Amino acid sequence: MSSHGHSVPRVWSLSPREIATDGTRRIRELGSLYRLGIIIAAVLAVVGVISLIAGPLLQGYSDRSVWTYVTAVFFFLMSTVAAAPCLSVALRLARGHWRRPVNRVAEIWAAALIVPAILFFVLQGAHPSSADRNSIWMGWPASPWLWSSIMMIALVVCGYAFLYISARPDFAILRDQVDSNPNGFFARMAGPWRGTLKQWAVHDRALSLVGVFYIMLFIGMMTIIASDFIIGMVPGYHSSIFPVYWVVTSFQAAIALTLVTSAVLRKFGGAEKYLELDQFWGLSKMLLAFGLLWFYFWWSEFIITWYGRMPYEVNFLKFMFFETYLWLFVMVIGFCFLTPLFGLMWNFIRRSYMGPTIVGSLVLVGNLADRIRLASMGTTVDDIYAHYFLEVPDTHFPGVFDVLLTVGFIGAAVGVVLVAMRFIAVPSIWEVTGGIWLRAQRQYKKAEVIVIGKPE
Amino acid sequence: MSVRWGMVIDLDRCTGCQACVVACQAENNIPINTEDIFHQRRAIEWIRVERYWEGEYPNVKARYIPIPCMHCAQAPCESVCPVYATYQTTQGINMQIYNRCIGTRYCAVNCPWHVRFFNYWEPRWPDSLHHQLNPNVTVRSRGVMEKCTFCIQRIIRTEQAASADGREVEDGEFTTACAQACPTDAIVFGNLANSESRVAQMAADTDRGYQLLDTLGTDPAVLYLKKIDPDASEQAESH
Amino acid sequence: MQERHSLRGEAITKELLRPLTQTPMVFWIAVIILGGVLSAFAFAVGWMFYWGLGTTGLNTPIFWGFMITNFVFWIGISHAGVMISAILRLTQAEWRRPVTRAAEVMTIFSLMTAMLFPFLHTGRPWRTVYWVFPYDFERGVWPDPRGPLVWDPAAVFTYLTGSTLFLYTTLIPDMALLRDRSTGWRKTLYTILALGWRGNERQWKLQLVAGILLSALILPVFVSVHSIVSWDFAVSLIPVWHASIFAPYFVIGAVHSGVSAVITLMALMRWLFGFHNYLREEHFDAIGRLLVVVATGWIWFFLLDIIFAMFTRDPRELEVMYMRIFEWPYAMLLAFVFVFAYIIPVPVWMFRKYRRNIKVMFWTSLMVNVGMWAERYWLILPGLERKFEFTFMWSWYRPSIVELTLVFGSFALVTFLLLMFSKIFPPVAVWEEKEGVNFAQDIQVGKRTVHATIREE
Repeated sequence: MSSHGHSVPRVWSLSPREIATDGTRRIRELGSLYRLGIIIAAVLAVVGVISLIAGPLLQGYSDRSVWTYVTAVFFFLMSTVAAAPCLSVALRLARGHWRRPVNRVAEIWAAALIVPAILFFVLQGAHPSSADRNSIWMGWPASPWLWSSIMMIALVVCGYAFLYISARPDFAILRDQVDSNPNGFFARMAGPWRGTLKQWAVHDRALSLVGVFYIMLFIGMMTIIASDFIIGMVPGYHSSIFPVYWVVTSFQAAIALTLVTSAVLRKFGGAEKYLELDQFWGLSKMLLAFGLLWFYFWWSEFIITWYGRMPYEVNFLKFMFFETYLWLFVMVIGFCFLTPLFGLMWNFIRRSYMGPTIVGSLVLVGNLADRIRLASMGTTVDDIYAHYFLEVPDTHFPGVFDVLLTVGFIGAAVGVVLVAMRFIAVPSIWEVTGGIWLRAQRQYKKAEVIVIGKPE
Repeated sequence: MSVRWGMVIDLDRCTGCQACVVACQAENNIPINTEDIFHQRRAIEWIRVERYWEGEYPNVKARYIPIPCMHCAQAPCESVCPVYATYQTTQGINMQIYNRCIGTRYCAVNCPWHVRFFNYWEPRWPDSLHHQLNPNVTVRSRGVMEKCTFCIQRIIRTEQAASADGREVEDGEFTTACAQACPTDAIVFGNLANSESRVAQMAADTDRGYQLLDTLGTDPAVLYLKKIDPDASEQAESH
Repeated sequence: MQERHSLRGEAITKELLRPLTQTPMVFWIAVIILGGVLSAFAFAVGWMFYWGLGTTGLNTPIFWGFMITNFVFWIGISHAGVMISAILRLTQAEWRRPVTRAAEVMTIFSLMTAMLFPFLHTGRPWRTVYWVFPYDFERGVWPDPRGPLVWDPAAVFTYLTGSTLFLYTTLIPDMALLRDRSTGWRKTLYTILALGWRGNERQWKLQLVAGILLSALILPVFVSVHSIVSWDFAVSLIPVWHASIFAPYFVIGAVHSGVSAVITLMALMRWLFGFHNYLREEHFDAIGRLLVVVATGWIWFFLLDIIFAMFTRDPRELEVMYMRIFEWPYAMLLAFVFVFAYIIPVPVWMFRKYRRNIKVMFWTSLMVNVGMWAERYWLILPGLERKFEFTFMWSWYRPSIVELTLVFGSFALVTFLLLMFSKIFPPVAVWEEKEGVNFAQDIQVGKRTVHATIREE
């Protein structure tokens, strides 16, 4: 087995001590760049909150189209921030070796779950009751508000629990190496963790259980959001594939987010020893696969509707893709499908730092455009009680507050994650160290090979 | 002159006598639908009369609706055929080529009006009826689809006669077997594209017109006329 | 903990090639029984060709029945091969090694069987051969590319070609092995099939690259095949068929039934050929875990399909939905699908103890496929029975004895072909097994020894 002549990644030649030192650096000292990042994010968050109050909140809930961009930024945060932990869970379940440094980069975004949650509760006011209209709730009492809120709270709690369980061994390391105060933050978070065999066994179990539960909650929540905010709000639109498209594109955005975060951490976060070509390669292969899946799910929806040629179906095709939101849609198909396809189909681009980062950023832009398109569709059809619409509604354009609010809340989510990095080691110390134990370089016949341990 | 053959069926005139069904059967060499065939639910009726009830006992009224092929301009059956055995003629007729048909039956599956029929068996007639068969119409073998053709053999014959005389086909010069047989003149056949023709005028003038399953957007060439019965619609609303 | 067997080269070769030379009694009994069913199958086909489709239970408007259901089912089974070998190869899952060959062969045979059915079910099969293939360019008469029934053969034959090439690529080293160890007609056959394989470094490298390329290229085909089969239904206007979710729903259902069929096959091979050292509990364990994920994904699609059909409150959709959820026999069938394809097997697979129990795995996987056959029937038939509001044309469907024979015959056909294959080609890839053994290493972590493998690149 030749290794294509690639150099051996540096991360696996580090000692556990070096990893611990690197991992705790941001926690021991506050860099000036890091401080600047937090300040900018805080300013953006304030701008976001002010424009939310000055814009939609002052105009009230009577006109749903005012809430378009609040919905859009909520969608975008759900498909990036809330989807990223799912990536971490999936990679752990698949037991790839390269994923170890990546996991924390993805799951740290769970810290920002509070931002979409706040937006969700603000948006509940703009939501009509599910009685007498197309809805998965079939007019249940207190639906959709009560039941979707319960799901949302469960999702947020589960996300934080997942992050906490995953970070717990690291808290113990920090307790022992950075802050030895027995009543300090890290000591409290780590609790009685000593790293015994039993504790590790329980930890592994809990991590995968909570993780799987998080994925299920996420998929359930996304199905509800898809139905309540989009499918139920566009008369005649009853595409059963849409929730799947919605979840799959969210995973795509989560991969892109993880790639971009990794690139930023390499550049500014001192993680260049950890997030190496192996990781970018692995993630960009996944991004390519999800780019293809993007097209598959879109096409499956399109071909059925287009072939059926029923007038109301043709109308929502016009509405979604070909007339009202044509340019947004062109942007989405360009950034979410064509860019990953033509960019990442080349191995030399996949195996680089720059290529996947650029493609990842474009996918994020495309995803935002897609979410704006879908949010605009969901909030601008007047008569949501009709069975279908025969006139295609007009395009909805954003105002100044809409733009500020979108930028502001995305900034807020980034800010929360930046703050979380003060307390949680990125990349995870225990996971990278564990990877070193399970890896060896050996001579096999004439070749130098990498041997990877597979416990269980 | 552009041609789109079409039909107007006045349901307020229809008595449900089934003369159209019988006429069609005789004209188009359709095998005899025996009791056995009906039990197999494989009867072939290019035009059939559906009966439904309006109102509730004792105020119940029997209603009839003859259903031939709609000859849709955007026919769902055409695009699904793998071998082009069904296609749209330039005169707006949805045509079946028996020779090309391989019998996938997809067209019938995708026809919302159920007006396409499959020959499950080799068609047979009693000896006494062998000389009755129409020589201008193909006898279909088993394994192919068949359907209403708007009596294409009559259309062709009239067109040929007209072109031999060097003139256009006149409205009412011929009609389909079902229209010809209808005792109450409920079925009118003609060229929808000719605004002078009787069908076109009936279609234009009426406020009773509707099309079956028009929400599917297939643009059928058959228009139904039906006055809305105030009694029945009141009753329907009260439920 | 994995059990590690210290098998070495020659022992592996001997054991894995045993089915080619030794024929147990069970084999002959199976051949006789299957031969009997196959003669009935041939007779039924002849009968149907002679008398026409009147001999089936089809009617107006139920133009599609058991044969189409069976077609969809076998296409579904064929998704096992690529799922197991291509995806697991690309993700470098070590446990795929003993399973790949059987899964790929099953793919090919089930595809061939599946394609038989749309052909048999046409009114004039002889014409189908004549028209669907665009052979006659002189007259300019082509098949209609708008028709889903033209997309179908295109996708299926692409998949068949791809899978066959893929299987053949992985077969070459074994052919060379057999060539060097056989005499007579077998030697001639294997010499031709081995394509001059000498096992030098360049050949191995080419074989590896070809395998990876084919697995990557075949993946889109794999997804497209069942999607296109699903579009046969979904592009039509029939209520409950006209659903955009059909494509991924069919694909994931196919993977569910296909991978289950692989388990059944593995258990049978273990029993028939005594491959206890190769098809080990850990392989059943790994596939069981994979299936829990696949089955759960499938149930999500299943529920989405139902929920969003009712979502619209469209009377036609509701009519059919009502029938297929609450009315006999579809209510029964629905319960059957749920219980057999999900409620019993998945909780069982949650337990490591049962995943490692071959008997349990055999019966649950068989159960899944019975359930999935019923699921295809449940999906396809109710839409045809009601369709639109023309009550005179509402109908029901009972399969005739001819159709039943065809369905049972298709199972016999695939099993028979698999048995015949195992007499000529090794049913477990010998080179892949040896590669796995050679790659096996140990790593010392503290006081523990952990099993490890050399990473493939």
